[in-house]
Amino acid sequence: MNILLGALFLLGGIMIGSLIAKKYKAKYEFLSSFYAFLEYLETNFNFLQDSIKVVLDNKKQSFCNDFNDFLNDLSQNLDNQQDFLTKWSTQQKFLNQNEVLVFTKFFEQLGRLDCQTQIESIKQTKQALSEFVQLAKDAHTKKGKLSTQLGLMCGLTLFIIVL
Amino acid sequence: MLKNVLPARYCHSLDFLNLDKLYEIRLRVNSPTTINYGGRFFLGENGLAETEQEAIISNERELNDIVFKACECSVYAHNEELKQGFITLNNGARIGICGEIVSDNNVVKTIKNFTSLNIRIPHIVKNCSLNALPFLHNENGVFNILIISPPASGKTTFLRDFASQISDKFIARNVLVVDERNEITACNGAKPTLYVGKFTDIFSGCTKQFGITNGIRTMSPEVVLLDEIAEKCDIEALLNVVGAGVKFVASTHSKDLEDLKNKPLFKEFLKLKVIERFVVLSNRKGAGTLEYIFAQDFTCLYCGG
Repeated sequence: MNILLGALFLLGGIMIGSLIAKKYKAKYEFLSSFYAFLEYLETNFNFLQDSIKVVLDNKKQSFCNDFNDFLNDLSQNLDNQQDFLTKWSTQQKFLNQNEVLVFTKFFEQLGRLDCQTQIESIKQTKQALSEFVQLAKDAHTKKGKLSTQLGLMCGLTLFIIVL
Repeated sequence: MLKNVLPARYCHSLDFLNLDKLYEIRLRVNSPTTINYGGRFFLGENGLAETEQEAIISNERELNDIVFKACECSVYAHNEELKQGFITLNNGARIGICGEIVSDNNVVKTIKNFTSLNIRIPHIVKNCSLNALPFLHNENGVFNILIISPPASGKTTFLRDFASQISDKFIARNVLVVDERNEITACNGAKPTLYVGKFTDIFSGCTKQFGITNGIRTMSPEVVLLDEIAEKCDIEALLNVVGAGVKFVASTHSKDLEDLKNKPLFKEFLKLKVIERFVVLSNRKGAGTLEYIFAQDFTCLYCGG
């Protein structure tokens, strides 16, 4: 019985650690996907100038699921971009206030500017975003790993205590 | 298509109207909406409104949203049109735009803070040019023709039908339409939404000069059709057509032939005796009423009465 309880604690510890690590990973992947999307947009604006609907419908599939979901929802709410973004920013879970600000500001302007200004907006967003991506990457590699290890350690400790 | 770009309250109001009779919707910030519905009327919450007070008052956000939606939520992709003060929808409806011009070194970059919109709805009136057709060609082909009428009197509709008539009836073997504002053909991708004939080539979204120079060089047309001659460069484009031995069918805003003769833009051009037929349209019995056809020496060949 004690062994079973200990094993449960161990498993619980590992799971909590992994969950916290996953949050860091999701944030990093989301921001990286946003950065990749900006590069994709920049190329399109420079050469093809497809409409936003076409861009969103033909987007690369290499974006993470969360970002893909966001783009799909955006594509369906292009007429009410502002309302959609306000709702999205209150519901999203992993971005901090500054990141949300950069993110929503960019998407609020998307499609409403002339080409030159739109490309300039992409450049500025990329500049601001590169710092966030770097921080998210560090957090993912350091804190993510740490969370998994701490979870494992806690689980192990409880396992030993119970035994 | 029109309802895709208009705010809900306008769409609701249009449901009470027969869209075949609707020619124009004019929206101005903080002003009553007016429409051309076989005459000038106000647009109210439930169709036509009797008085100014009952009319829908447009606001700035609505105008911005209409332009944004007309640009398929992608202003950058339609900026070249926007810079010229209009956006053409996929069904050929043209939205004329007034607002604040953003320029850099006297070069227009874009328009923002839209103050007025003029939405013009195209109509297909099949065979509307049929009465005029016998006067506008002989055994050698089509004459050089200028279509004259006041604004919103059916010039483009006439031009469109004429293109399909001469193309389908083999009066001209190859017809080229230079559709600067995409109003004649309403091309959606590679497909013209409005019919202009089986043997008609289309250059859309380009300047008249570009379309004519490249079209004549590459498509060898017998006739070139183009809308709204309004500038000196348009006259030069027509002279290029004539110089290449190709016939043209063009249109211009003018009340009648006398009004045209008094226009500085046309004074020198008319002296060249290039135009062989003048077709005068009016709104007298509805848009596209054929009033007169004049020959090169201004003798009247047809009088609508």
